[in-house]
Amino acid sequence: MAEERIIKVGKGETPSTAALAHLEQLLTSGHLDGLMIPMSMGGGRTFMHVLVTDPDALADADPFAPVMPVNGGTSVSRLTKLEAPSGRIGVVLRPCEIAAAIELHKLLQVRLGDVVVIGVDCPGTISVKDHIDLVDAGKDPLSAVAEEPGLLREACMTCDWTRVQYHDMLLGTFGSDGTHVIVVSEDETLLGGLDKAPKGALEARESTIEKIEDIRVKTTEAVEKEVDEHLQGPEGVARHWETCIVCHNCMEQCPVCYCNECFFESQTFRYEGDKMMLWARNRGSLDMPTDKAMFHLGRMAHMVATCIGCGMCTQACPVGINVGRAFKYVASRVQPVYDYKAGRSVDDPLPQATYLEDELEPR
Amino acid sequence: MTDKDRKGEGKAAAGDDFEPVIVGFFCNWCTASAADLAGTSRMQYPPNVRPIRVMCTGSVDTSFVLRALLEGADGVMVGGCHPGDCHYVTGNYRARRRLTGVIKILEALALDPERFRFEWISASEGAKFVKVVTEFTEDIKRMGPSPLKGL
Repeated sequence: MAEERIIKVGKGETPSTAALAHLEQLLTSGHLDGLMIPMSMGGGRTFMHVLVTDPDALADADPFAPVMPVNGGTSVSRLTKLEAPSGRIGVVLRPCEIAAAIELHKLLQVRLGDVVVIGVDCPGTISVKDHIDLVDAGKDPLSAVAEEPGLLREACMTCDWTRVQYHDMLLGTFGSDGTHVIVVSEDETLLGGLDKAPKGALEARESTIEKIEDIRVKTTEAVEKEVDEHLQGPEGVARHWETCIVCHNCMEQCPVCYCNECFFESQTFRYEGDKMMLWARNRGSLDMPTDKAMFHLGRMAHMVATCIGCGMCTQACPVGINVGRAFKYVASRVQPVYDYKAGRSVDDPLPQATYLEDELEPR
Repeated sequence: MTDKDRKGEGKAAAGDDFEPVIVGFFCNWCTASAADLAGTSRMQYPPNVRPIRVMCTGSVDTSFVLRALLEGADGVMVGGCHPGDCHYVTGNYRARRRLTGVIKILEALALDPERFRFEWISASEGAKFVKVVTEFTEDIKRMGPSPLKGL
């Protein structure tokens, strides 16, 4: 039975520092042996996960930092794939990072049961570049977003994961107006003597979640309408990826693109000069580097059923292609066919790893 | 086939003189044998399919289908064993899951999903093979050359 507790944000504290104090106490008391948590890099220019064992090293950490340079699911995979660390390691993850970890768990790249997942409410993140620019311009990213919500990444504004879908411990900030953080867990050792959460705080969180979900659904509809208009047919697809430099960075940063030996990096796509000359003659010209559309559509065919819509691909693109927009659009049309939603649950089997005798076409 | 032969192929506009290129991935245990049966039974069907024999439709990667379409095929056809008949027990069920994904991608991005066809044709169904290939070739002829070429 999950217990709902509350951390009050005191004078001179922020929800971040108050939650951090609780996490620090878990580390000091030995209830956690390590903590993977977003940590300030370059004086707050960006935040990246750091594996902390010394409570004193937590000073620059922020569980609610509004930036995600690398999807934490990737880091959990690095931490647990070969062999999960002994001891209890808490990993602070936002819902799309949990979604990635869930998919990777099913793909045998993460051992989810061997870490303590500390889920956080996420109002959205700013792209790394925008975050760095804001800090360099002397602005506070959080207040900048409060003023201009359009600063958030598109993947965040169209996020499907407003409600933390899996956790061993939840740090909830929705509906708190910065006055408290709700802590939910079934594990008494993680609750560390916190007071019971008042009903009002829980209800406020619930209604805030519903409001945010509503906004995100509407934004998703607006984005899908744009895709309907512009990203359709061979010309639309070609136009969308026209400026692609085929660097494969979208694939490198995709948390669920885990293959160590990617088909699209293989020798299959290295050709003799005469072969390329043949294609050039047949078509009149041949784009170099080759296989731009093949890479994107092929990668889509390989992983879109497990795409969790975190938008790391878009953030990673050096030429600013909205890769995630196309992938999310297609994912929301492919996954329902299998009655599947990537990142939703560890219990839903991977669509490619299972089948029913009586389903789909042809029968 | 020489460079020169290839050049004209599939390039003509839609019409009577347009001869589409269709790439067929046929399971060794059924559709490939059905094609053999059609041939040895002297049945007539359009010569537009370039057959590739695979050991199971379960070995047809989704990217093979896309690759064929992007590299010049006007249509792609996959032929496998009827449900319950797979030589490897579950290959055709898995193929159906994967290839449905490709169809959905083509549909979502309006990339001519009708240019892909997936059929169950057993080794004894030479007549069905002829019917499917004839129909599919007609369909592709009507649609004209694929706009996906060289995308």
